[in-house]
Amino acid sequence: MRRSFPSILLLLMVLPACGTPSEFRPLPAALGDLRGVALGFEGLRPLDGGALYSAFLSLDNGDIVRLGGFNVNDAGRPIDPQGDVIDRFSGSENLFSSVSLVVAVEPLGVVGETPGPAVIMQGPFIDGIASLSVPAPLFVAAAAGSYRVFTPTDGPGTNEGSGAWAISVGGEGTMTLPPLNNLYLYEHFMVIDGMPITMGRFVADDVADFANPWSGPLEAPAFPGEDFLENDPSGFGFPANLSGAQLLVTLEPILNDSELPFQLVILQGTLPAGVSGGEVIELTNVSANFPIGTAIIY
Amino acid sequence: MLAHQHPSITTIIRLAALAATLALSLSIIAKAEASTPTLTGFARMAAPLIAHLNGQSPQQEQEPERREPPPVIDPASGVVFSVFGGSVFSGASAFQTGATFAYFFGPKASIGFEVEGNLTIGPGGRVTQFMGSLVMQTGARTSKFVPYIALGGGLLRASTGFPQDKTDALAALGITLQPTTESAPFLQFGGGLRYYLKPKLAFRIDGRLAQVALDLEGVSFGDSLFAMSRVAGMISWDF
Repeated sequence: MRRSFPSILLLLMVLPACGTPSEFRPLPAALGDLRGVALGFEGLRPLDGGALYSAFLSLDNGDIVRLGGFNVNDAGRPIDPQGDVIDRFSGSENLFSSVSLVVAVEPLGVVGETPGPAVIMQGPFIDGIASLSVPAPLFVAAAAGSYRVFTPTDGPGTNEGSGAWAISVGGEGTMTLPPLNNLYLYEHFMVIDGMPITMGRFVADDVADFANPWSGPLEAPAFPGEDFLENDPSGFGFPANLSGAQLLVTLEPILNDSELPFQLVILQGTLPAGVSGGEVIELTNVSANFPIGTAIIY
Repeated sequence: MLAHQHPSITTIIRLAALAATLALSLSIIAKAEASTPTLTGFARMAAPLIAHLNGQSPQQEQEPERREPPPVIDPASGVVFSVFGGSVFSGASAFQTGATFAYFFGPKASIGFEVEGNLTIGPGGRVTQFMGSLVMQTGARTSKFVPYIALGGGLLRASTGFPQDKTDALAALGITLQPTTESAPFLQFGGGLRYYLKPKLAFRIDGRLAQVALDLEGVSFGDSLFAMSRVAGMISWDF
């Protein structure tokens, strides 16, 4: 009998590694062995071009649990590549002690072992429920500003309706933006005939943006802005006619430099028809439209 | 669905505690069995007479008896009733309470059967269990410690009971939890120790490991197993 005890003991000590079913079952749930997560969103845009969202949990012991990649449908529910709604993301370990959840955009559609840099939502768990929101800089809801239509990089009186700058006639900045956090940069875009074109990234409302690829040969003001005069990319004709164009100021992930605007639009405004220079475009804060979501451990 | 898998500190501590309890039980059983006189009760009383008939002096036989400490408590064949409270360590810690009846056989009371009913109140519901065990313990003990090991099986019934806000949040996403109850058989193994505070009253610590066979479709038997472990402190009365 003694000889059999160690083998029985060993067997029963090893068997717990068999794991817990990935589907919802009352017994593990009753005992707090919760390995499923339900996700739901409002305002999160479906991704195209092979991009995916990824979701990761952090546990109180420091472990990071990858839930996987997904897209969203128009109802804000996560879907798999076949378009089927994912009711339950399964973790490979007990998620009862989850601390927070992060949702990131994976532009290449590849989900790694940790979240990509394009974090778009996150939230802490309280009693197994997390309210997800954009980790935007503080006071982003108070961001405001305007752009003045003119083209300082090709001299006065020339193509004046083909540029927009966040600077007043008196040379002062015209935007009020909060300090950035370590996730995002500002970027502004001009959407001309439905096609967005970047005006450059920037870190504050009173410094120049990083580049002026479309501007003229003269020195640009030390404030965010762009003239659409040269080097026109495919589909655009410069000097651009900005009549009816839309101007966007967005939050962009620092390490996700896509040509297209990220979906976190802070300010937006529309240039009037027949724009000829000198117009001031007042921007509207639309950060209230940032996506929100819910994650539930069950 | 991959994760960085590391056995948590708490898991390691729990398994270590269970292993230590079982190892201690086995060790004490082995030592106690080795040091226990094979003759007990009436047989022990008859030993001097047998020695006399064999030509030995009763004084010669009594000398070793004087050098050994007398048994503190004689083994108790019969019924042992226990009530307990403890913790189940599958998932989050869950409180468990229940009662057991055991009956031990023979002059050394080294083998017995025990039935147990318990209720586990977890963070996500409740589990009731009914189980039976074959118990092997040191009989004719010479100390207040009675280690034992146990092996058996049983049936449980689990029901989920999430807080209302979680149920509402899931419902808002169109998710209704099904099923909400399930029954499943299980096998269990463990051990423990009784420490006699009084001749009929003992404190008992008990550790068990169980493998529950969930009724799952489309998965292998191994994948349908769910492991449970518990450690409980008990008060036992011998009758």
